[in-house]
Amino acid sequence: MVVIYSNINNLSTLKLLISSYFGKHDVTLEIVRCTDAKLLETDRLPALSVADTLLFIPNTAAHYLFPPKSFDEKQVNEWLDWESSLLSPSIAWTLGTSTKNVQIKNTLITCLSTLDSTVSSTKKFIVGKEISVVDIIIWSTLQPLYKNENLMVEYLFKLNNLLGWLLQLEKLSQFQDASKAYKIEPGNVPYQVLLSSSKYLNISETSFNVEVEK
Amino acid sequence: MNVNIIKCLMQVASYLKVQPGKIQIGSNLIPVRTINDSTTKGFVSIIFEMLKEAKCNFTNPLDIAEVRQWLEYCIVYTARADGSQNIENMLKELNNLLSTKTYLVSYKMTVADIVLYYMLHNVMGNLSYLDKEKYLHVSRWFDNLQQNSLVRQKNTIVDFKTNYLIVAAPVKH
Repeated sequence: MVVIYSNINNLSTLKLLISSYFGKHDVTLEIVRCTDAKLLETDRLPALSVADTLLFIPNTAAHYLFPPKSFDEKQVNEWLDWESSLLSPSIAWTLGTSTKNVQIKNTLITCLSTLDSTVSSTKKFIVGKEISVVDIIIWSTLQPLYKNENLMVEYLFKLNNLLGWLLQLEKLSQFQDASKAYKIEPGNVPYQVLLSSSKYLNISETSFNVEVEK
Repeated sequence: MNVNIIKCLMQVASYLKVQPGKIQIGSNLIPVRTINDSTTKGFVSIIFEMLKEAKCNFTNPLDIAEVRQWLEYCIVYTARADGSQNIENMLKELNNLLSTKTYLVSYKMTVADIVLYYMLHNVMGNLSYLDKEKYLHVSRWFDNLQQNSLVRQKNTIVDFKTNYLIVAAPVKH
């Protein structure tokens, strides 16, 4: 039996749910607290329980549920690295806390700009010509941002390619089913949950340079 | 934590007996490897490329997932653990996760153990004897790995053999 353990308002849970639909896994979603006895090994959420193994890093669990086609593997790995090292921590620290760190915010803005230049009306998916786990994890990370009007105006202004990509994925049945099965509040709250559930370390400014390679 | 990502990747290449290529730290501390005109960005991606070159195949998809999980853990958490509180939290978590395991993935040593060993080498070397005992499962796992000279390479051996009781026990009159 495959079980997703999650707390509430955790955007990473969307990554797992949508991936399970695309990978055609029969999963059960169980809402727990971080201190729940079922999570003996770690208090990170969400966690995927498969055959006595607990996958507690969301991108890894999503990749397991919906593995890429082998020829896309290197590109998929690079985007997963990018999302876990840059996009996810920078969005969690920028939108999930009240502290203002200009460098981290600039990293987030550069990440969004990178995405905007990657997708377009003719390039509908980030890697290759079909949907992959990369589209799923990045869409999930941005979902509470673009669903909140204030945040959308502030961060996605003029990023029409990115916004079009987000809205186009939203229409797919797997994304709609996941959004129905697990509600995420638009706005800052899911990013606070992301920060506490992922336990991102208090990154020093030196970890994030303003300049990002084009 | 002052982890030298380039050194870690070079040691992984050496262990896997593959060419390291040119490894640099790009913007935002993301490592970039160039070899035979091919560039790979990102810590996990680089190690997966090295595994492919070493023809190191896993048959069980769950084993691959766990390896991937630990590599991401190493670069997102272990490499960024800065300050005593973060390091303490990480060791506490690892101690818990290793309490019932000999190796991180399955029942055999994988690249996940090797990468975490390289990343933790400085931390373990700087731990007091009391802390080594406090994080007993991490110490046991680390000591087991460092006995393998192919894994250890030129790293110094961290001492776990002192009689801790002498240090920990109060003096009785």
